[in-house]
Amino acid sequence: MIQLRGITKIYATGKVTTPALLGVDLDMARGDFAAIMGPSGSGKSTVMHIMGLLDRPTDGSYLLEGQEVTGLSDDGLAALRNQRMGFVFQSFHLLPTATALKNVLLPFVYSPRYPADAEERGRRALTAVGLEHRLHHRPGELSGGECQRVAVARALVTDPEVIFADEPTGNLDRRSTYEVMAILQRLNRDEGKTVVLVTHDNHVGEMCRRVVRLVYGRIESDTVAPQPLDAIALLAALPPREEDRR
Amino acid sequence: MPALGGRLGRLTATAWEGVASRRMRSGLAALGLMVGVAAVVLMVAIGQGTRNQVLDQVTALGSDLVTVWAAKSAPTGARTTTSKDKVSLSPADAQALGRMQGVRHAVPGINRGQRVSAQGVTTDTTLVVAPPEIFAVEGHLPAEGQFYGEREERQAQRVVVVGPSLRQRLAGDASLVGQTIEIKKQHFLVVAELAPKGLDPNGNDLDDRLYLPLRTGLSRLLGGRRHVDYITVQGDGSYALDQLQEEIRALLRQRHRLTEPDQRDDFNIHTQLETIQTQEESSRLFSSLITGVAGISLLVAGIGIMAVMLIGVRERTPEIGVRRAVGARRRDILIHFLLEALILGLGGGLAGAALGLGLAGLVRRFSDLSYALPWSAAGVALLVSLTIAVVFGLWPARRAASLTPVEAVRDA
Repeated sequence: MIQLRGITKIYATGKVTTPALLGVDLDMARGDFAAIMGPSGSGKSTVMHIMGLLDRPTDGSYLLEGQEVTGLSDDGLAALRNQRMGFVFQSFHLLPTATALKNVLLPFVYSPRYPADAEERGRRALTAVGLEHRLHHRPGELSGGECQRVAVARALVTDPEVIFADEPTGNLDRRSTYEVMAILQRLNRDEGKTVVLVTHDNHVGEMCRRVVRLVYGRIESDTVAPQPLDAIALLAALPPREEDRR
Repeated sequence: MPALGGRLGRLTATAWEGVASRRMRSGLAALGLMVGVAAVVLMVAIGQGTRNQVLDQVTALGSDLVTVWAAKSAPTGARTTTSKDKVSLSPADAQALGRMQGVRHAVPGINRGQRVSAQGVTTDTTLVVAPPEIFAVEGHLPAEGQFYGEREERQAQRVVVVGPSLRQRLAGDASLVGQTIEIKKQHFLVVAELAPKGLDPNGNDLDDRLYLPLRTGLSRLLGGRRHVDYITVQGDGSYALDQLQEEIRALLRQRHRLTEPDQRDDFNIHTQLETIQTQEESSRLFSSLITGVAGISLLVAGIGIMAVMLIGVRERTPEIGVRRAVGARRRDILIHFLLEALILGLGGGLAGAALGLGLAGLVRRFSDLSYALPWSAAGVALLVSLTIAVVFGLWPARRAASLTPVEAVRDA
């Protein structure tokens, strides 16, 4: 589905140029569940931003479903992001003044047509992340884990082929981490969504079927785990929460 | 709905939510525009009201009048005159002017500050010494009694006509008609009271006056004076005012033997037209002053909107990043922020127009100014505030649209 060839990215700030990616070849197949890992400065976020069409490579080729996208206009990239991709960020990036449902419906503001059943789809997406009882809460009234699940629902609502998640569990405690990972694993397993996430947490990496490691802008290893950890099982093994015990 | 319209509608709803969810900030941003627009509307109303007031006063005085003022003092040492008295105009000049073609009345007169008393009260007023035609020329009507006429004039009778302000000071609400007023130890019978006229454009109270016949004044109060201060000429409409003015000048120069072109007039001619022109001059000045002040205040308001929006764009950088990530194009962001500016402009402008019209209504109610509510000025001010909002919102909006999705998201 995604085919990167010889991708380089060089940041130029004034006269200083900082190379971030030095020729990356990487394929993502439909249905992959991949973690991109590496020390900070390895270029793992950059490679995901390029795959998610949030950033352009300095050089190289990117085929999305066989279509070269490096030459597309900004508007063309925006349309692809809108219709074929979903995004989850480390710090959620929800609109603080909008309800959970409004936040989830955000991608439809920019879709070519506003679907007649948009609200229904928003409810379904929030139900899929277990937040059907939080439709009209604002981010300030939700826990961090709940906020990130709203963000996952927002990534889901357009029914994209691939979900990109940049450190999705970076700001979460262990329980919320398992909850978010359980949702991503279920989307991958039951709905065949391709999931690409960036993390520096090895434990999160163990929940992914494939782990790509970057060092200094190059791919160091690309391994497949036959038996990734099941987030639901991990969640079940946690001691019960205070409020659950009562 | 067509695709573009649908998208624009969604962006408008989004912009509205953006403005409405930041009430404090949006209110402050729009406040400057509101005050500016309200000030413009109110000033336009008051300017109009002042102009109307002056026009009313000029009309009350008679807009078809030409007044000739004596401009030559008596030679020093002459008896029977004081140095203040002007000697270049005589009742005979008035008679000659009265016979001129195109003239209905030519009324000679003298105005004097004079101490008068009645019923034990003493006060100062303006004494108008003039023949009975003065009432027709100045457009007076009696509120009570009958004005003195030709007979009283010819016989130099001791009769006076009192203005309502003067009567108020001397006798309160009681009538003075049939009573006497004492001037220089002589008693004068009050035969009539004037209907009120209010103030003239210079702020003089036209009702604080006491009229008495010319011959009475000249012989009994002014020590046999033979000259008058002014002659008020009323045209019959066959000449334009400035033309009439030239005819009067020519006749008077001839009568005063000012035959050489380099001899200066010994009189000044003044028309109400000049008063109107002076007034229009000053109201034009007032208008350009308003426009200048309004321009500056709206400029300041625009800068306020720009500052608030620039801060907003900086704070909302992650929001912009997410919008770009989920599919917003650059122009969607641009339009979104321009629409927010437009909403601020519309809100501030509408509130300001309403406030200005409301204040104009209050001022009209509690002052003696009269004017139509300046709806068109309110409309123009509203349009200007919309324009200002969009112009000053453009830079922040462009800055928001210029962010790449990745730099916007990473900024968090």
